[in-house]
Amino acid sequence: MNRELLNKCFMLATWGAVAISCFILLALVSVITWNGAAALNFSFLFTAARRFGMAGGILYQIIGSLLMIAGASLICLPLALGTAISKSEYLKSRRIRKLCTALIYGLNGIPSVIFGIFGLIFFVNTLNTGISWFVGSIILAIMILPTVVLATYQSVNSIPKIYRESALTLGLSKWQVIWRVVLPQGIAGSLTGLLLGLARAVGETAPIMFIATAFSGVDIPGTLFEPVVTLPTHILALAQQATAPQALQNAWGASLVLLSLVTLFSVTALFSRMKLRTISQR
Amino acid sequence: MKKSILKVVQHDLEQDAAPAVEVCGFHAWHEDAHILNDINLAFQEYKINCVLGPSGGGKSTLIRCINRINDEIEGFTFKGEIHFGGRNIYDKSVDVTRLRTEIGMVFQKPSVFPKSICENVLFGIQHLKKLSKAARLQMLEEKLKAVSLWREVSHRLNDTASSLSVGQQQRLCIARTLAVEPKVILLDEPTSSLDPVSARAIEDLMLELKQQYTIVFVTHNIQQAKRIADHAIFVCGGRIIEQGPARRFFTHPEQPQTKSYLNEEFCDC
Repeated sequence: MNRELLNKCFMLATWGAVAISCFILLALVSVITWNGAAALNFSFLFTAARRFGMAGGILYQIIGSLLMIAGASLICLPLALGTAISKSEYLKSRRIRKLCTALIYGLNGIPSVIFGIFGLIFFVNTLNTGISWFVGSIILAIMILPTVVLATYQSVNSIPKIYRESALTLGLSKWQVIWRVVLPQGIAGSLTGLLLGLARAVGETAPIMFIATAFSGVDIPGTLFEPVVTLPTHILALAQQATAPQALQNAWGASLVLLSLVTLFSVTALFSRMKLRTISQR
Repeated sequence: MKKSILKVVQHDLEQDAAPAVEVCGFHAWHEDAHILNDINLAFQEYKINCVLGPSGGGKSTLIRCINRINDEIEGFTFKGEIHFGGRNIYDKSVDVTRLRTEIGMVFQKPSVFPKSICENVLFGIQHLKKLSKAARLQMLEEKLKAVSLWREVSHRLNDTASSLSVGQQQRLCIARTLAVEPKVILLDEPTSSLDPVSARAIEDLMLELKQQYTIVFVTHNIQQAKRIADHAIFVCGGRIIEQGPARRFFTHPEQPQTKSYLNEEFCDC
C-alpha cells in the first residue's frame, strides 16, 4: 500500500470514530427528547407524583434532587478549597504532595456504589441516622470532592509566584496572602469544578438509593434526617414497572428533565471555565 | 599633595558611612547547588548600593535573603548571619512579617494586583494600620508623587492598574512599597523589563529616594550602575569579588575579574 492511501485510510478511520461517537450522543439525546417531550407539560413539572409515579408529575423529585446537590455543594466547597490551598501553599515536601495527588485520584476512581454501601454501613447503620437526604448530600460531596479539588488546585497553582512574593514583601502574613491573593482565584476555579461535579452528582443513583431516597410518598423534608425522592431513583422505579405505558411515559419525561439539568450544569461550567483567567491575564 | 589628601578624606568618608544591613559569613544553598559562598558585605545607609554581576551569579539570591523571601522556597538552606537594626534577621525571635515591612522589595517584572491603582498603592499598608479616608487619600497622593506618577494617574485612580504602561506599573510597584514605609528598599533588576525612557525615570527616582531610604539596587547593566551607584558590589559565581565606593570601583578596580567585567562585560569566575 502506498503512503498516500495509508494516510487517507487513517484519516477516514478517525473520522469514522468521530461520527460514531457523535451519532451515539445524538441518538440518545433525540430519543430521550422525542419520548420525553410527549410527557412534558406544566402540570408534569409542578405537581406531585400519584399512584407510585404512574400519574401526576415530578415536582418533589426535582426539589429532592436540587436539595441534595445544594447540600453536597455546601459541604464540598469549603473542603475542596481547604485541600487545594493547603496542597499548594503549605505542603512543601514534594513527596507528600505527590501522595496527596495520588490519593485524590484514588478517591475519584472508587465506583459510586461503594460510596452508597459505605454511607449505608457508616451513617445509616452505625451512626443510626436513618434514611436521610443529608447523608446522601455528604456522600455525593465526598464523591465529587476530587473533581472540585483538582479544578481548585489548578487555578490556585496557576497564580504566578511573584504575586505571592509581592504580597509577602508588602508585609502581609501568609494567611493574609492566602485570603487576599490566593482565595479569590481559588474560588473561581472551584466553582467551575463544582458545576462539573454537580453535573455528575445529580444523575447518580447508586450512592443514594440505599441511604437517602424513598420511592414514593415523600414530600419536602422538614429536617436533615428525612428521606427525599430524586429524579434518578424515580426513573429507576418507573423503569422497573415498564409494563405500564403511563409509567414508561413518565420515566421518559423525568429523564428529559434530568438530562436538561445535567446539560445546564455542564454548559455553565464550560462558560465559567472560559471566563476564568489567571491573575496575570486580568 | 593637597589633592591627594582630599581624595583620601573623601574616600574615608565614603567608607565610613553607617551600614544599614551587614551580611556576615553568609552561605546559601538551593538543594545541592551552592549559590552564595562566604558573603561578607555592608549596605550603607541612605546610599544607592549597587549589586552588579553577570546573570546567574547569585545577585538575586543575595538580596532575597535580606528580607527572607527565600524562606518560601523549597530546598533553600543557609549558614551565616545578616544584621539589620542591631540584630540577626535569621534569629528565631524575629517576626518575619514585620521585618518585610522594614525591608521592602521590588521585583524584576512589575506585578500589579488585578485591582485599581488606588487599591494597589494601599495594598500592603491597609493591613498594617487602620487609615481614615483622609489619611488614605493623603498617602495615595504622597506616594504617587514620590514616584512621579501622580500627574499621570490622578484623574483615574479607580482604573485597573493593568491599564498602565509597564514602566508606570513598575513605578506603581515602588509606590506601594514606599507606602509601607520601609527603611531599606531592595530592587531586583527593576528596569530590565522596561524601555530605556522608563528605565531612566526609575534611575532618577532612585537618586531622589536615597535621601530617605537605603537602596539596594541589583543590575547587570554596568552603565546604569555607573550612573547611580554610591557603593558598588561585584558578585560573580556566588562570591563577592570586589566592593567599594562607586567612584573608585569604576575607575580603579582592584581585582582582575572586575576589570575584565567592567571592560568586556565578561567574567571568568
